[in-house]
Amino acid sequence: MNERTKPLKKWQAVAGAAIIAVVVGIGVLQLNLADSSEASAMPMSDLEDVPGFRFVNGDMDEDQYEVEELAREYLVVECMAASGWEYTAAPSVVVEMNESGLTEEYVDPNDSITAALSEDQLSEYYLALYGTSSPDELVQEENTDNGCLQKAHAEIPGVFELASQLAVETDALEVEISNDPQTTEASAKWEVCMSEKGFKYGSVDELLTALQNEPAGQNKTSKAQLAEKENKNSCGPELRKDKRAAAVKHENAFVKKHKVVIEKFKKKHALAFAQAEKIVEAHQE
Amino acid sequence: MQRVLVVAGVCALTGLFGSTATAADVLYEPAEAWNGKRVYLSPATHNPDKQGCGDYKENAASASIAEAAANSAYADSYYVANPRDRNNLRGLGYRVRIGKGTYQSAVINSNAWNAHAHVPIHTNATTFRCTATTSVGEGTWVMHGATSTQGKALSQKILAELKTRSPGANDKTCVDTVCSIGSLHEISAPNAPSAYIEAEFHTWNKGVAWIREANVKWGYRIAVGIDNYFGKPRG
Repeated sequence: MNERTKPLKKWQAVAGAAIIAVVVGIGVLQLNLADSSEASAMPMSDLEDVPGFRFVNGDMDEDQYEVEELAREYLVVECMAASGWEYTAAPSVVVEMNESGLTEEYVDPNDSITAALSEDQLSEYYLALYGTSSPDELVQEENTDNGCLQKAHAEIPGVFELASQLAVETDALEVEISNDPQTTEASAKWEVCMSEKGFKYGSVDELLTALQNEPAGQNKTSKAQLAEKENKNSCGPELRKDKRAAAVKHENAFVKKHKVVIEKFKKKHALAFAQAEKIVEAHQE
Repeated sequence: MQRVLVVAGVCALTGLFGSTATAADVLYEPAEAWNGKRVYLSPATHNPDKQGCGDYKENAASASIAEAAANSAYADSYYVANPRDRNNLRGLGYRVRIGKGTYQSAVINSNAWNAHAHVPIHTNATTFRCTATTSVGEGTWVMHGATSTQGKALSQKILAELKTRSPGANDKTCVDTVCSIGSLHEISAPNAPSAYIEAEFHTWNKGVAWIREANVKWGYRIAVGIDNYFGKPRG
């Protein structure tokens, strides 16, 4: 599991108190310190400072998304109430699996509300929430922006708004990075590293394909499993570091190229995020 | 801090699905380092649910498949005992959300989260032939939009992992407007490339039996297909 290192804010402490299931068993919430130290040693590009584009600090984007999602839920509560419907904020839940057993099953707080509605009432409820009375039809008549949910998203578009708008450009960026000679060299270096450990694989892809195609139940001493152990402990981290170094120059050029739109978004998002935090805090006081 | 839910296995997890009241997702963090990709899985949430042979219900079965793709290694003692945890989305380094609302909310959430792949998961239906032992038109279909080259590529990669495992002989990728009832919302509306899986037909026994083995035998192959589409990114 990834480590999230931001200090707890007030809303987080309150949300923590609302945890719906108690984690039991050792190891469920264990932090992968190796990953975290590897991440901290990664070369950083200017993209790490752009909300929605972060990779090394990708948890920051997820943390912001989490606040924004909760704020949207509270906006939906208000919007639904204005239409005469009861709605309980129900943000997403993180699932952690544990061999030792189920502690408590998640129950959506709105299930009991909708279960009590007649068919006609449910259609009206959906119309208010989604802007369509049949949001569970496979083919939707038309896209609507009239529901409380869509309105909440319009008010708080969120951390990934610009990343979504620049999806084509980021796809092109990925191609540039993978075609960079430095990336190719990093892969060649990995091959030598693995070879020195006694494993002949032409690429990480080849090793991972071998792993994925092993018969189910293959034990830990298979050649591919042993090679993967070496990859994970020695050759892999170096490869990722080298590839990241290659990526940095392209990502910095990307930021430079889109500087105007990025700076504009950063300002807009900072304001929207502050608003989201205010909404959450106001509802949790 | 986000709400945390601890579940033991797929039987418990299926209790999370089937509601269409709200728009919340279920999240899975990568088991180790994030590989930079976000995958949105959207299992069927029909209302009313679709029935199949025996006591089969599509919503719970689709949720089980999605869970297997996201996290199979932790959901079954066989895979816990045998180190296959790389072969699910969590193990492969993906961030995963599984939608539990409606098809509308799934698309809205997938787009807001800027998912890199959107994968609806359903099971198919035709005339009931519950005692049949030989397939006629049954098999696994993966649908995509007519003009989406990325959706088509994603569909092909996923089908490549399922077609030799699915019992029916009619495995294929196809355009939704050709193979389905029309332009499917979860193919046309997501920003991410969409590959819409119809994992076998629940209208014959062999299909149902296979679908029910997703968590122990083949659900993780969806993860492998997605991983192959992305070129096995590992940070």
